[in-house]
Amino acid sequence: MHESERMAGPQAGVVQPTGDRAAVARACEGDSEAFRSLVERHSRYVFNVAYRLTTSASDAEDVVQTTFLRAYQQLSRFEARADFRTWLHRIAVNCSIDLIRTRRHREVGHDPQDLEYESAAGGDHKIAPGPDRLLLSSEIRDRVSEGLALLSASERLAFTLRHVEGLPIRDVAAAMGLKTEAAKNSIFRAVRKMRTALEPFVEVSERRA
Amino acid sequence: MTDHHSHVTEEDLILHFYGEGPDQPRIESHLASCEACQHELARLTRVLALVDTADSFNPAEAPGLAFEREVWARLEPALGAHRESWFSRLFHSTPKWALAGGVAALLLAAFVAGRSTGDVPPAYVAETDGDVAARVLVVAVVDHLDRSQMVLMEVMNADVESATDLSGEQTLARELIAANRLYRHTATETGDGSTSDVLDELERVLLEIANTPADATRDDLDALRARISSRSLLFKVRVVHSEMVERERKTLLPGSQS
Repeated sequence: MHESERMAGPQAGVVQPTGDRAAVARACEGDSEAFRSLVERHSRYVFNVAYRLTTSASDAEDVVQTTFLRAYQQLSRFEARADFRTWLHRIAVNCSIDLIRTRRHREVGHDPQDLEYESAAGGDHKIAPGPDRLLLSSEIRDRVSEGLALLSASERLAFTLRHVEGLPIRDVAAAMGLKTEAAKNSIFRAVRKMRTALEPFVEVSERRA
Repeated sequence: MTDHHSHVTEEDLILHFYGEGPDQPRIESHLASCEACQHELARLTRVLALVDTADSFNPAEAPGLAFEREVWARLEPALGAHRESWFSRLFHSTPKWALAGGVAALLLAAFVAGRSTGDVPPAYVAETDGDVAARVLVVAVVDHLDRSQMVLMEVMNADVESATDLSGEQTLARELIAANRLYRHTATETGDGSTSDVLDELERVLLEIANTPADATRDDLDALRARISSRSLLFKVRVVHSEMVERERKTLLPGSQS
């Protein structure tokens, strides 16, 4: 799934809105098998959203659990006309940010609102180099990973929410507990750092081509 | 960007790239006739396209084939508690305000116990009926604080330049007030003064939001924001929320006591 889903946000991937709505309706009536079908259909997607934000597989697994438990509790609030995956995406983003704040707070006793103090390069971000996947060159992946490592935790989070998850900046701000201007500035800083890291590589690649 | 002859700033180009530019038609018009800005946008686009191509955000290894089954195996007991426990039966037969009090009493008693020992006692993490119920209770209070934060954030981020419809936030605030009141009483009774203080401040602000005219003026919004900001209410709610989330994580995943 990864590529198409990642770049197109919650609407992409294998989405079965009608099936989801029917399953939600049955789950609201106490049909656990219906909820199970939703979990089986979407848990991998939630894992990937959570991984992109937490950058840790074990944290992402925790987020999957919390997301579905919250979804189950809030199922009666789900609007029948809405897209279940979009709704789930929002819960997963919130659960991921909660976990990131809690993790920071627990590890260094830091103000949980402040994600700025730690550069991703110095944190526990696991940007796995891994084997080459699909048709992508490992060189590009390495360069991008190096660029991402230059971002502070809040810059990376804001950039991921805007660029990868496709949230409008206002929603990025709300999810991160920031004012809109602060979220914008985090995104600007992130993009500038990525440009600094990647532009020389882009130019060389283009000359090669 | 200032006028047609000035180049587009990097910030506006970034916003334009994401379709969130402050004046998209004007930027597009400028771009149509300015090679320098076209070049700058192309460079920006190439870099961001490279980020897309690299797939550096996804896990290097996808979860195994049994992933969905494992998720369900861990999740089902907690859902079962929600469906079948005494708590669930209570939920269907008791007014919500009374439920909230019961939830708060159990949660805050456990919360205070957790605080006083500095960790979760072994008895608490054992798989008992009470523990399973506690999972549900913790999630309920996290949800309450979640929704409260959402209301506060909506007020803080509302557009000050025009009259704002706060009716949605007001409806939610009214729903939250009764539950909040009972959580606060229970926190006071269990001796958790700091949580009680935060909930007391939260309740006052929720009341103010509920009682503000639905078509709030800029002055109304400024007053509400000043109230929220003056005592760092949002931050305090986040701290309590953060502690509850940690408790939620421990009750949901008893093995992860990190």
